[in-house]
Amino acid sequence: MEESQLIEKIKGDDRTAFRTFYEIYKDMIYNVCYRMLNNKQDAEDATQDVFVKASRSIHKFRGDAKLSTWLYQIAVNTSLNYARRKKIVAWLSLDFLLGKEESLLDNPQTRPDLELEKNESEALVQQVIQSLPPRQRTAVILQRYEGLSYKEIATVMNTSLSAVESLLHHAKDNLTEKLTALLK
Amino acid sequence: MKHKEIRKKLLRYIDAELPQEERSEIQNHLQRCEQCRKDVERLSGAWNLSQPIKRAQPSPFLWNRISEQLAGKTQKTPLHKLELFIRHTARPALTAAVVILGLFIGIKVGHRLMTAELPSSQPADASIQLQGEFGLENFRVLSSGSLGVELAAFMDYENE
Repeated sequence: MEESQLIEKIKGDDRTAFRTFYEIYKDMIYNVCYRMLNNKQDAEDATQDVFVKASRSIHKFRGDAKLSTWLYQIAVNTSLNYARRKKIVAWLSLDFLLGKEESLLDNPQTRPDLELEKNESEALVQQVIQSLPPRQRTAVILQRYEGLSYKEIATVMNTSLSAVESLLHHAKDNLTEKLTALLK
Repeated sequence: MKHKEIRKKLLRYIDAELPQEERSEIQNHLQRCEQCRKDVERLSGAWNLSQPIKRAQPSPFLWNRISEQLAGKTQKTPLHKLELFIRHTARPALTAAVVILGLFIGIKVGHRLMTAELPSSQPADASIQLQGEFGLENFRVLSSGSLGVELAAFMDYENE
């Protein structure tokens, strides 16, 4: 089935078409959310939100960009909002006073999935990427793990090409500094 | 470019994202600098992904959760539920607790200020206390070693 036909069927509230849509894109969305949030459970919750939002706003999709680009936009925004809300909830729960803060590598739930990161170096790279500011992190994840071009990244992040170049430039300078210190 | 500037650009050098001029400069530097050569080796090993990139898969039950939420049965994520709890219960309770604590502190501080004794401007002196006991308040007490004591002694002497 062609993409345009699939979209028309989903707009017509065809549940089978939506199930097909889910099966095609679930891994892509889940992996983006996982890379952004570094936690399996959070990635699943965020993926659920992404597909629910996609279903409710598919009528707004005009077809001037690829469907995958539109989904990436929803996934990135959902993941960033999710991470922000989780921080606020953690602060309000006063976990930091009870010493419940854990490093990414201590908690099995938050530790990079060793199935994905077969070697320790990749786990280290993923951890260092997580330490970047949100927009730099997003740009690096979309380029490195999703293989998007600068132009596609600019569309997903709703910014200019030069802004993406600048984000990746600074992100890689930060990563170089941190990785060279950790890899010694 | 200085050594420090070159070190910052090593990852972009590995990814071939630098202009040709900068690449050549870094290549020349690497021929002379063992530290940077080792860093490039370590960074390349960690940074370059093995292909194909492994994809994780979500739980097979995720579709059920999505479809139930779309069908109108509430299947909000745990984070949503916790947010609702904080917004409707914890936050008003916390606000009330802060107000009550503020009132309590204010009352305590006010009470202490009202019942605090003022310090005496004169040092306690046994002779003053005795003066009070025997009704000699009109007589000024001269403290020992003062000029008044000397003067009184002189006047006594004069009157003798």
